[in-house]
Amino acid sequence: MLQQVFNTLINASIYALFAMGYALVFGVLDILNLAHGAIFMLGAFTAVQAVLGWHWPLVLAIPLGMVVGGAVGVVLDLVAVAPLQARGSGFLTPLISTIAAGIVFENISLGLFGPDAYSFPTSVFPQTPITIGGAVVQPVDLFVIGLTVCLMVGLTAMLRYSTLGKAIRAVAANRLAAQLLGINVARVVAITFFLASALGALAGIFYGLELQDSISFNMGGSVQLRGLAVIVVGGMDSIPGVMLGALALASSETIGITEIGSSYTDAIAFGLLFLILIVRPSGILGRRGSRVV
Amino acid sequence: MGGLSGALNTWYAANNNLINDSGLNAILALSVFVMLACGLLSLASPAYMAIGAYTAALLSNNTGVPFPAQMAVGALLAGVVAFVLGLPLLRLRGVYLAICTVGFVAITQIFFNTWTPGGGGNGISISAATTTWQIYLILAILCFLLWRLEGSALGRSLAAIRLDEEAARSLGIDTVAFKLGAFALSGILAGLMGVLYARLHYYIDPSTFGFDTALSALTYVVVGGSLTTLGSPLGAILITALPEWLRALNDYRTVVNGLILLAVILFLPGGLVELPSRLRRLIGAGARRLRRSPETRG
Repeated sequence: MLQQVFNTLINASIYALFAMGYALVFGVLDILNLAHGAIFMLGAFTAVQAVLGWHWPLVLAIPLGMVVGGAVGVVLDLVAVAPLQARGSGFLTPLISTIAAGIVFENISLGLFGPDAYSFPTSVFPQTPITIGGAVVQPVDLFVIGLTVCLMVGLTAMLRYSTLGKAIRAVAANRLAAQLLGINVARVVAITFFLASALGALAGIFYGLELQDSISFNMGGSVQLRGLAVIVVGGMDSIPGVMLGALALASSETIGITEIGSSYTDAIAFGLLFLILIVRPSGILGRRGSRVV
Repeated sequence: MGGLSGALNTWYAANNNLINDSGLNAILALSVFVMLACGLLSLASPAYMAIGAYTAALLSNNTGVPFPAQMAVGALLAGVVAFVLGLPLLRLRGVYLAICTVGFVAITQIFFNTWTPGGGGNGISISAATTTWQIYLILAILCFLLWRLEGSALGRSLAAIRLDEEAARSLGIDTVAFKLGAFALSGILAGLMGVLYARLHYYIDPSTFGFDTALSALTYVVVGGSLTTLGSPLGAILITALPEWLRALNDYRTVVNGLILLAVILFLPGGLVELPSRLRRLIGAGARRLRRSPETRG
């Protein structure tokens, strides 16, 4: 039982980090960034390349993956999103331009690394399992869960108290008013893309650390839909909502695998998603009219 | 004359898969387009397509129902499912509707993955029947009907709903009926396309009817131009054929493919249908500058 709880928490951490990127961008720009799955993949590839190719220690490879992911996010904003926003083109065209950018990213990675699946070598983390009340946990699992919780708390505090956080919230609330108050909106949007993409890249690295042979050019597809489910279930409003949504999705998957059989896990997740959207379109913790930041 | 028809025959023989798929994708794009025409972003089309395809498979393998009747049954069944799906989704808008329809596609895909009469994840084989002229005849009829609809009072009502739903309702337009009608029509078009698809490809399996197909269909519409009927088939045909035209680029062609999509979105906000008028304006501006330059020099 406790073992299942740990497995759920690991999945929930990855989903929450990934979905946080969706929610940040959606909160500030009202658009879905469908290249986020590709950034998830690029983050994982950068870190695995640093570890396998350049023999960097994991503690340096992880920040590198996040910075590369974040930088790609900024490029994505400058090339495929900001020009469209500048002429006020609604939410549909940025959706398509991010899909196109995602296709480009995936194929660049296919060109660089080929179609093979990669893993982090087992030597990057100590392999001595820790027993916590009957559950056997690897150190890497505790690292993933711990860092996720820290980042979520840190992000909440940053958005609430720091000047940058206040600027991000101001742009999310009213772009024009924020501009009139002297906030550099384009810069705030670019920073939001950086943060969102760095979190997405970290989710990709964690995914690669937790699953053998999971790092491949099309790894983003499996997480993309789950990220959407998370922000819908939790509401696009709040960080607690995203965490709750991630927990709800991960636990429904765990229950689905153990109780019903693995072929129906996705059906449960999306059945849940469907019901919540119909009953409460703004999510469990969401409030209509306000958003994540 | 003989030389021309010979050349055409050779071209067709070399490209017939591409030609058939372009036509089918054009019909799928129309199914997304009719929803966008009244401001609804739905990605449910692959699910309707699956319903049409599996209807065709079961009817051909187990009964003697003729092909045209299969088209009617598949299209109607998908239309009914779309209508029923529309009932609870009417209050959702924008991205929320899009995500919910993605959820529906995922659920349908899982259903067909585990559904034994359809072969589950292994898929099911069907005898082929669809021909190129059938695809393009149906496409032409659909384009004509939708084009006529666009200019009619019905079409203008749909456009009014797209631009401002509240205002449309206050003008006496029954927005609920129109939106449900759009759902049903979207289902009928994609269901019909599913029947044609199944009987063209000999074999169907659930992996075809997923999120990727939904995103492709949406891309056809937006790249072609989402404001006029002809944009969707234009986008579908060009995007389906593009990777083939870029064959000479070998390894880089998928990257270039993505870059071209990106460029169209960035530089032609109204889609490819806008290209002629854009070019005319550019050439006009260039000509004016040329005419003016001697005066400024003098």
